[in-house]
Amino acid sequence: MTTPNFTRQQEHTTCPAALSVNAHLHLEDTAIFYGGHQALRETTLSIPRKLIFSIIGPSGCGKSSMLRAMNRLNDRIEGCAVRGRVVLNGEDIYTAGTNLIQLRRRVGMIFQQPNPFPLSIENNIDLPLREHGWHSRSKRRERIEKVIREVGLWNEVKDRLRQSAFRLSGGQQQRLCVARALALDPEVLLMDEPCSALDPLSSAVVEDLIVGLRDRLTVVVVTHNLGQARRISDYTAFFWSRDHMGCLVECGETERLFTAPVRDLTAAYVNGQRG
Amino acid sequence: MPHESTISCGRDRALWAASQAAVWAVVLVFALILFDLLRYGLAGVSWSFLTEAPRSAGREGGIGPMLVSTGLILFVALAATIPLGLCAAVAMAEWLPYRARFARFARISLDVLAGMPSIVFGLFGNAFFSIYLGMGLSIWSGGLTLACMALPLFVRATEEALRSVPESYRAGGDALGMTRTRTLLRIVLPSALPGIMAGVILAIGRALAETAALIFTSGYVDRMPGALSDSGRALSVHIYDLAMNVTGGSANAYSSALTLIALLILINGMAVWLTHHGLYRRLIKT
Ligand SMILES: Nc1ncnc2c1ncn2[C@@H]1O[C@H](COP(=O)(O)OP(=O)(O)OP(=O)(O)O)[C@@H](O)[C@H]1O
Ligand SMILES: [Mg+2]
Repeated sequence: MTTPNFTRQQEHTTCPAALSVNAHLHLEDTAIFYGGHQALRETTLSIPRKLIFSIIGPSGCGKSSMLRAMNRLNDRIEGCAVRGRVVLNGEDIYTAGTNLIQLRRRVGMIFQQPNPFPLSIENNIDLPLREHGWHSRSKRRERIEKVIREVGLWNEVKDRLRQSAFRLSGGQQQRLCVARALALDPEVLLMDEPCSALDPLSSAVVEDLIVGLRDRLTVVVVTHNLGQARRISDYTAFFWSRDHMGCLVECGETERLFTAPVRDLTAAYVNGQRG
Repeated sequence: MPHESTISCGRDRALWAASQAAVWAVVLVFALILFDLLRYGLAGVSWSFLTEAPRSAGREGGIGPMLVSTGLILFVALAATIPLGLCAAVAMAEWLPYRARFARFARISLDVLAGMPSIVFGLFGNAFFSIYLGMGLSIWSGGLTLACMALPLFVRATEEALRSVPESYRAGGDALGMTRTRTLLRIVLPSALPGIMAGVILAIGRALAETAALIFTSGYVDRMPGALSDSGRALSVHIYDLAMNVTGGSANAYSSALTLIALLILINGMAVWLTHHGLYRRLIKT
């Protein structure tokens, strides 16, 4: 009895084989530890190119930890260790030779709390651009305008680019953070609950912004808002936490996962009975 | 008065009254000292008092050489404290893990140093800078001794200031592929500047007030110093000397003390202004 059950579980906790062919980002037996505690069980997951991939699951199941593992932001956390492989475009990012600066330029991150620097709106984007070798001031100017337009913020801020970014509303700050990440022309954008600190209207604006990124870059978005995951994402991975250890329960096309989940746990969660 | 609804029971009211009384007590002590100094010292303060050399062991004349000595000692002390302290604080707050044995050891050492009586620093400075390094009784050796005293205060204040900078700035810098050095220089240090300035003020306060350590290191010769290797009498040493050893010196002692207090308030105000209007604006807001 246990064997068929096992294969069935395998089938749905790794992504469909068709996906991994064109996978942009690929986790292979990735496990995450804090000190001696394992926060994420060995997970295998493929994230397809230029689509929107959402990660859902209850609090504490390791969603943020996994997201941070995808551009090695975990490195700064004392006692955090990542085992297994995280493969970007066929290359393991956890090798000694990985250039972290380049990795993070290619794989950007948006946090739950908007975190603009204590600088002017303009300099928030100017500073990282300069850091990445944009020496020409006029080219940086152009770039700044372009990305601020892309996030739909231009008309709101064009007259106060030199004012502190802290004077913006929360939703505007979050869009500025997206603009700042887009300025570096990343291929993957990781977003950790990008709307959960925002009011419903700002949240809708940021949500539309994410949808607009589809086909241009790969977006991995963690969200507690199941409706949002369903509206915006092409694929969804559902995580659960067992004995304080997160594990992947089911992964697949969003519509399928919400309408015809294979696992009972998934069905209970997406129907709001658990979690 | 706090909002009515926050004061509900008698115990709240008692605590509120007690803390209010404590605040008034503090203000009163400061006002009394200031009043005393102004009453006996203000008449003696004049341009010639600030610039002239003392006569008759300080009973007459001014405090010109002491002001210059004090300034030079302070300069040497800060020139040593600020760069050294800044590097140490950055290492402890930004680079070493909080629990690293080395950082823990450094933190304990600094706390012990901060609580050490100044006479011990004086003896150490005398033995190390004056005798072992051959600096003699000089502004160098006084300034460096003060640096040893001010360093623990400054490092701990700066470390706290750095730790209070939101972690999200560093995470943001990391996530944008900025080097940690760049994030530190462009974002973290400017954000910590008000706290660092508070550390500088603490250091200056401790340095200006110091008497015991300086008697053994920069000496008590009341001539105008011609070089940093000359001995020089600090203002606080001068006040001590006038009050303790010179009969009839109390009028000038009061005037000198008033000058010292004025200097402290001036430096304090300057640092606050610089932090909020000058440096801070330029670094942060644009
Ligand atoms: N810096 C850390 N140090 C130690 N343990 C941590 C750290 N960050 C996360 N953890 C642990 O790892 C587990 C997963 O945390 P994580 O933040 O990844 O969950 P999450 O799914 O993002 O939760 P939420 O939905 O609340 O954001 C938790 O048990 C948490 O206690
Ligand atoms: Mg999280």
